[in-house]
Amino acid sequence: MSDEPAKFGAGDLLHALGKVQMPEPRVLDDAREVLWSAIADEMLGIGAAGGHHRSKTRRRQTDLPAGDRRMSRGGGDS
Amino acid sequence: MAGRGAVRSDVEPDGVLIERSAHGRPDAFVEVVRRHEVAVHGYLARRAGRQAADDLLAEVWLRAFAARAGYDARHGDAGPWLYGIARNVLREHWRTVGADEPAALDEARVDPWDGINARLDSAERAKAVMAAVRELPAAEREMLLLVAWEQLTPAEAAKVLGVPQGTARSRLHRARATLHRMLGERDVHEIGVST
Repeated sequence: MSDEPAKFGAGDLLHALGKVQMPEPRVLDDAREVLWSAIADEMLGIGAAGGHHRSKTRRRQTDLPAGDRRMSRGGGDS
Repeated sequence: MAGRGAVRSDVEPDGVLIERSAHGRPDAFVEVVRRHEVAVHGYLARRAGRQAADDLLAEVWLRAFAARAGYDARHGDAGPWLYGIARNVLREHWRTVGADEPAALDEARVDPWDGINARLDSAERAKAVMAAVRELPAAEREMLLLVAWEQLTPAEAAKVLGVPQGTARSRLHRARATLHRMLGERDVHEIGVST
């Protein structure tokens, strides 16, 4: 290995500054668990009236992000 | 999104799974989440800190699940769509906590440098880079960071932001030019040019 200190340009530094730790598995599991709850509600036919997450899961199309609306309309470029 | 849960030829595209999830198989949506959960959490963590990311991730999935019927299945990669939803969740989070995005840029991150010499040298320059990024107009900063941090192509970033590709490329060009002017370093021009 070289003892030369590495030289980092602004682009390298910006990339490096964007590094974050991997999430703990339990964090991902917990978030998926919330999703599974919504899925279960839908499969059981509970729907908008019965879900405890109703206010967050039943959104109007106009609440979607601009990019989402655009893609929903068949826009985009892929 | 190439390199971030890229779709292999023998794997069903996100769009197919989302369409299936909207037509009688809602559980199919979980596979889409599995493909993108690390990347979306990283996006949230880079902008709002790790604790907030932990708290906000489920909200992204709930909103995406609720909106899946409107997803255009021709978009095989759901990444830009999910980033767009995550971005809206972040904006609401910042409004709620009374913070602004640049505050999140101050949070300590994983130390990416091994050598002490390199670390000492880089620390000051890193501060200068982040100070310059904070000075960018919000729209240009968002575009730059989607490309530099999330490794999106300008076209993908345009989808996230809901702007035409030309607008996205203009913002990226201006952001790089501003950083180049402020930092006097050429390599900022390389961010996103290969895509």
